[in-house]
Amino acid sequence: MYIREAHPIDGESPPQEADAPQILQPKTMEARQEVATACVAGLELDAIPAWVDEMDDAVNRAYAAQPDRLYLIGVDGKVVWKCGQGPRGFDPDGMEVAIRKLLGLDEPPPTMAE
Amino acid sequence: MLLLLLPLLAQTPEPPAEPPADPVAERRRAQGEARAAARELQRARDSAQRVLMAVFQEDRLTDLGREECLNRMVAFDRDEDARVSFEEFERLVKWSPFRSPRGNDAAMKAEDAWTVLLRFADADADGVLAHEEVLAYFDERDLDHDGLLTRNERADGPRVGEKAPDFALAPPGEGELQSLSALIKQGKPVALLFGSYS
Repeated sequence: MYIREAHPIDGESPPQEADAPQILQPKTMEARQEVATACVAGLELDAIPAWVDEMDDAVNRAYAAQPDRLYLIGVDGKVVWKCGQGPRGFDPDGMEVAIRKLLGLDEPPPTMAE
Repeated sequence: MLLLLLPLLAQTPEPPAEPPADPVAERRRAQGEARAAARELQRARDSAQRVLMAVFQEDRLTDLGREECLNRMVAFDRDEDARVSFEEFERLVKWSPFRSPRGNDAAMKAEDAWTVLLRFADADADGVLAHEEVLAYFDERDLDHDGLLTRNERADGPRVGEKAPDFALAPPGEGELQSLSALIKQGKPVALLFGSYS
């Protein structure tokens, strides 16, 4: 889910790293779509279905996602797992554990019947 | 000798003459008072903005204590009736941290920001924010009940076990809208990764 830029060069906290993407905060939906497209390509996320949040940031706010966040939604539509907001709360390792648990990938093998 | 001095002693001494008013000094004094008043109003506005940001889901502040939250609401409450009306709110809020729904970065009007605040915290829907309503909202968000609203507690999103808010959005570039619920109906869990390019 592409959301509002966290560190645009015209924002309050521009990126510190020299090799960080130099992005202006999109002011229109068309601009946001362009940056989202560049983001997916630049971060090699083409294999993952992607969405672009609308300019009112409604989904961003509904999920309290800024600047980045992870959620795992179960087949019943309910939140199974979530991490905190990034950067300190961003927890991809925790999400992997949650996914494996949800899919039963770490269940102990069944014992052999005697 | 004393009799000769009596008339002199009886006279009320004339007060020293007032020096002529210095218009430049007067103007400077008035300007200084105006600047001080403006600084005080700006401090009050900054305080109001900070409580809005801290309590109502902005994440640019550090932790907020319960007593400080109440103090900030008191700062709004000009007529001291333990409730904040729109007029009291508008007086102090110069701009809102909430984004405009009209698709640009212009700050929302005070009326729009007030509508958002009421949606979050006006439990009895009477159009004013009582101090206890804001504190109740604080307590609701204070998940570990330690009297401190941390960044993560302030803006938590849906909780584990709650229904994930549905949405229908377009992919990057061209494409049809796709909803979260449609994806879930395919029978697999969905991992949501929120982020941006920077």
